Amino acid sequence: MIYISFLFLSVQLDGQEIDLTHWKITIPATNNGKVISVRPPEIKDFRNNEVLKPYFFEDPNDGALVFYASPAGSTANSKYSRSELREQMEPGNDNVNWTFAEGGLMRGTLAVTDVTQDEVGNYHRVIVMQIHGRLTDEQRDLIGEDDNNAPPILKIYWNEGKVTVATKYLKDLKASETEILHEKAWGNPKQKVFKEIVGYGKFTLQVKVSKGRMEVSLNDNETFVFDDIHMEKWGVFENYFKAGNYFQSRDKGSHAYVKYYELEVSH
Amino acid sequence: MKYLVLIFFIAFICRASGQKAGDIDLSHWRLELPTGYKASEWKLSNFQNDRFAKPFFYLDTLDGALVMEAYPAKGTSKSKYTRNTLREQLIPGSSEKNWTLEEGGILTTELQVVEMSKETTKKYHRTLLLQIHGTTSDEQEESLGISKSISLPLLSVYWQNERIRVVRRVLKDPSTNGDDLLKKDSWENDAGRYFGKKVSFDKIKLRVEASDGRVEVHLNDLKPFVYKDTNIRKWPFENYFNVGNYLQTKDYGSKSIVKYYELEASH
Repeated sequence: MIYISFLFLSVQLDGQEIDLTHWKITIPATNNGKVISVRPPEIKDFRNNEVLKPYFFEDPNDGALVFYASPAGSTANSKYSRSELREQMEPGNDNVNWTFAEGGLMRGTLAVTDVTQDEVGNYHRVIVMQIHGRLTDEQRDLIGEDDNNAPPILKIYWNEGKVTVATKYLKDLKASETEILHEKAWGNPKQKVFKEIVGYGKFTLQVKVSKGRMEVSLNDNETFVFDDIHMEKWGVFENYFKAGNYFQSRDKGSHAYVKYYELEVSH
Repeated sequence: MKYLVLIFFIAFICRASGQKAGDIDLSHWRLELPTGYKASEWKLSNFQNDRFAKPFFYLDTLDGALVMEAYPAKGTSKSKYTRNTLREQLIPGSSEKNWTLEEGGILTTELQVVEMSKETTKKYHRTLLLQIHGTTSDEQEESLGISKSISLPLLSVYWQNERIRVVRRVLKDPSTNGDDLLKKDSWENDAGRYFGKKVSFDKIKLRVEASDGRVEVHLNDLKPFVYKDTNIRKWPFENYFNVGNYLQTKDYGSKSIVKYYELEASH
């Protein structure tokens, strides 16, 4: 009996390890055609939320947070489906974000545990972490956009058991401060691939941002440093972290599971 | 009881050998099939349970050979012909590191073409068995200011007309130097050479030895082809081995089967 209570206690503790105070969850299920999001503080009661449960739940065996995604709903600005956390520096508010000069650190321990294969047998890809840019209201109005969406400066993929890192570069370095606010001003350089094979196993990712600089590490072992002119130029944007399962497939019947064991953000 | 112990023992050996396919270690190879299916270390280690690999790539349970079948298939392959090939990866799962001729390499194979469709009533289709493939290094790409690597074979070994034929790249102008050596169209195929003896559908030993300024191709115990001229000395690329059954047609009804009994790359 003592043993059983101990087990119960440890599961509870594990589940508490990820603090959701500063995260909003978006799942692929829709309500009136719009994908469903749950903000803090409501997200903290996710264990009792029947709508979230199929897509975002606690694994009773190891206390991990499980993110499940399959093509159904997608958000505006996206053609894929996601079960993904979005950082909210001020709980419940999307409008408070951070610049590279203000900096930030995200660290997570996770595993991609099940992904479907496409019609020829290649695995579907999953984005497990991101830094997303965001236009301030002034920037949005300046360039005449109808929402605050800006490109992601960082996308970390699980791809066939390996971890790959995608960033952005400014196509024209002479572009003005206003011109670089447009999504099309930014291009996609060749992705960086970590040497270590993670497969379906657990791994730790750390993303560290400061003025003009971004570092991405896998298992505190391999690190990619981005500190060129493009990172400096990115300083114009505000940003937020994302973590979870942004599933890169629209194939019928496809799906992916991502489990997070630890997730921390600091500024 | 004795048999039971033996079965457990065999099961243990099979488990312990990991990604070994019979006697062939596949951890340093990346597979690509006619459908566009791709697999390197993590996925390839499970090929025997992967229904997408099975029609083209499997172990012969009787003789332990790795069987590679090539026939046109629907899918996403971008290859010109029907590709069933293994690409060497010095770092498992990564194609980023390759070797220079100075560093050298030896590829040892024992193989057998067991089936080949015909182009006409008299003439068989041909298949590409082995290659030394060249590619630009990161430094070369940087100095040329290109983002996509330049890639071309130094040497190709075909099964053609029931014989083994070796084709290699030579400089159009032997006085070419510097960055011009990195241009694809500075090079052209030579006329090719056949080993005298027909190999037909026999089991054969093929070995390729590359070293500083010298490349040799050995077929069984015949006198090897040795290349050690300006073309080899000036070859500026980093290299990897390709092995398999790259059937040089996409014709309806075409098919080739090659069995590998031995496959080993060493440096």
